[in-house]
Amino acid sequence: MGVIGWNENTSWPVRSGHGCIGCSEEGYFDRGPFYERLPGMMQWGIESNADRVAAAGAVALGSAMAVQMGATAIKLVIQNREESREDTAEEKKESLK
Amino acid sequence: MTQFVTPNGFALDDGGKRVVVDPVTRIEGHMRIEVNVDNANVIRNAVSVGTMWRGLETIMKGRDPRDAWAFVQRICGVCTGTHALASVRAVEDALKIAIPTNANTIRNIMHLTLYVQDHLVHFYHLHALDWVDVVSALKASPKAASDLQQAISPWPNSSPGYFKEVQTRVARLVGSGQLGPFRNGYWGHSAYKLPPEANLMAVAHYIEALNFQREIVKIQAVFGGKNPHPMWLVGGAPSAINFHATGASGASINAERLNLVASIAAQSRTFVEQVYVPDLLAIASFYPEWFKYGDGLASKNLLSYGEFPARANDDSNGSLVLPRAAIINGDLKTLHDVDLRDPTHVQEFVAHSWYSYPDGNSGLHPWDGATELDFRLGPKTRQTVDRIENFDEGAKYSYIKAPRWKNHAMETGPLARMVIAYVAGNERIKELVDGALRKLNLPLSALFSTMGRTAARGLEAQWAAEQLIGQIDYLQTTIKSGNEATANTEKWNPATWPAQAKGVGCSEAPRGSLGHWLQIENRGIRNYQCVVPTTWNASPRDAQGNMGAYEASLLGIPMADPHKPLEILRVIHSFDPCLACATHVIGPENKELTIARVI
Repeated sequence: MGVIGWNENTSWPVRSGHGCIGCSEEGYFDRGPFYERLPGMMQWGIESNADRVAAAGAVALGSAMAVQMGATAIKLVIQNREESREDTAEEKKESLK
Repeated sequence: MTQFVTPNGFALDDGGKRVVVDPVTRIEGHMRIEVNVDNANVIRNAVSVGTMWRGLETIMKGRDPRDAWAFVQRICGVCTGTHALASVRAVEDALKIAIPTNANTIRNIMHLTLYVQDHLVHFYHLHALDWVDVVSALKASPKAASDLQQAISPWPNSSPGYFKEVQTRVARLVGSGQLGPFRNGYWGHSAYKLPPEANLMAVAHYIEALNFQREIVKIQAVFGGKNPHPMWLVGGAPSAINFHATGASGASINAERLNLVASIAAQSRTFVEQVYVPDLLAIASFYPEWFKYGDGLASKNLLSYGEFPARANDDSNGSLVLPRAAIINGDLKTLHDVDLRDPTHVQEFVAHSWYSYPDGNSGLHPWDGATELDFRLGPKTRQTVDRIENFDEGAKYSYIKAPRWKNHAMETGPLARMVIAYVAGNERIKELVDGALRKLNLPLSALFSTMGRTAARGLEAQWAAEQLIGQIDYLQTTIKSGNEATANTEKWNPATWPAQAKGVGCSEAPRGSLGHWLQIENRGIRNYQCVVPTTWNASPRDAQGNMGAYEASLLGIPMADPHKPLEILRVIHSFDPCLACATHVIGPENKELTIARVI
């Protein structure tokens, strides 16, 4: 979950159950289709291919949609980054205790 | 100077003084109105100019049809989601995808939410200040405002102290010279008729509604992740349901989320019933003449594509709660069938629009529609090096095409929907409409007017808030029965699609009929055409010279002061224009034209 959710922290797109389409990324609309499988696509320095990212993303989302949508590399990479950011925040909180 | 009668029966005189309003403010998008007034300052000719180009259709070509909703939704942030809804319906129609019951219900909930929020925002923030004089509110007695409030509604914010505080806040704004949202009104105009206490009450509700509309859209955020521009999905709704999940993890729809949605829906209904509708009726009662002005096409030709399917995948009139139909030549006894696939029903013409067709005077059905720019000005255009003084309506004069239903210019929007549902025998809508007319002591025909249009919108908001609660109940019942499906992914894989397909998806946006027509070829979009509500209402003339709804509705209206064209704003705002952001006017030398004044 993002740090600040939309509409007074009501939600954000991934929480609605949909894959992230990267709508705040520059030129996201021309970086390929939103739903197509992009196996082997490496972006933003993530050393993993789409299938591996998708497997991780599907577990994290816990949603049937993630499996159905499959390996949407762009979105799930972002999802992954969000989660790792949250993990870091959690760790920080832990260390402050 | 010429005088003539259009084929659809409107007498025009383009002599006298030409008055230009550009830009028309408190709308979505960019538009310009030019009128000719006679010696008595009565409007005798009207020209509606869409001064921007929506080029989104062009960039849809070749894209994955499953992506289309995300692009076309961004045509507009006001009726956000409506384009996405029409788009996913069009793709599902083309690929013959059936959606689950829950997806249909969630879409209805999202769209009803939009109706309530959009109508509320239109009334208070885009339209009310045509009737409400903010500066006059400063002269009101807070006690009188309190008495008025308590007489018309049980709404609790009604004490003299509350109105005193609102008045102090507004006085501070006015005193600071920084009026914020209240800048640029025609304050003190002789056409304002409300007593100071009614002005104060309405200003208080302007502020309350501005806060409250932020709550309403949270319903869209629950199901779509955010507002504006929530997430949609071809084949259903993205929302995953798990009634027993807790907190922010896992499924988007659980008991806590549905309780939030139900609670906001209940508050919305109360706000509409206790604030919006009583204000509407109170304001309307001070402007009886505006139930006569601004008819235009309303008493003649009305169109609705129908909305809110009670059953998933059934858009017949047996399922649509608001029916799909057309009324022609004021015959309220006959509802005509509207077929969006029939090439002779909906056609767009460009004789007076800045587009070119292979045959300039014929219409094209949207499946075969074209969006080729052709910006040219007519010989009677009055212009200087960097400014267009007057457009020439005898030639091309708008970026808006002229859609016609069986060659008829049509009005679309809440008025059309309410009248069609009324005629079709919708009991609740009859009750709401008759109740309001009884309170105002007016006949049904009074609806065909500027204030009638505004009243129909408010009554529809009340109806939508009631329906919203019903749809949320239905969703809960369906989930509790064990049905948690929200998407059908059988045809998600493009390999399952035919090589060629075409589909149409329609919706009733808050401001009128919206249709998306697309063709799919080799799994990509071959052609995409949107015909939007404001295309119907703000339409320029067609090849035969038939006037559109905006132009026709301005005729015959007396203006108190042509330098302060408040009356034009009242009429145009009553339609809730939405011209959708795109580009500015580019002149022949590609210089941007900026015209922002009232002559």
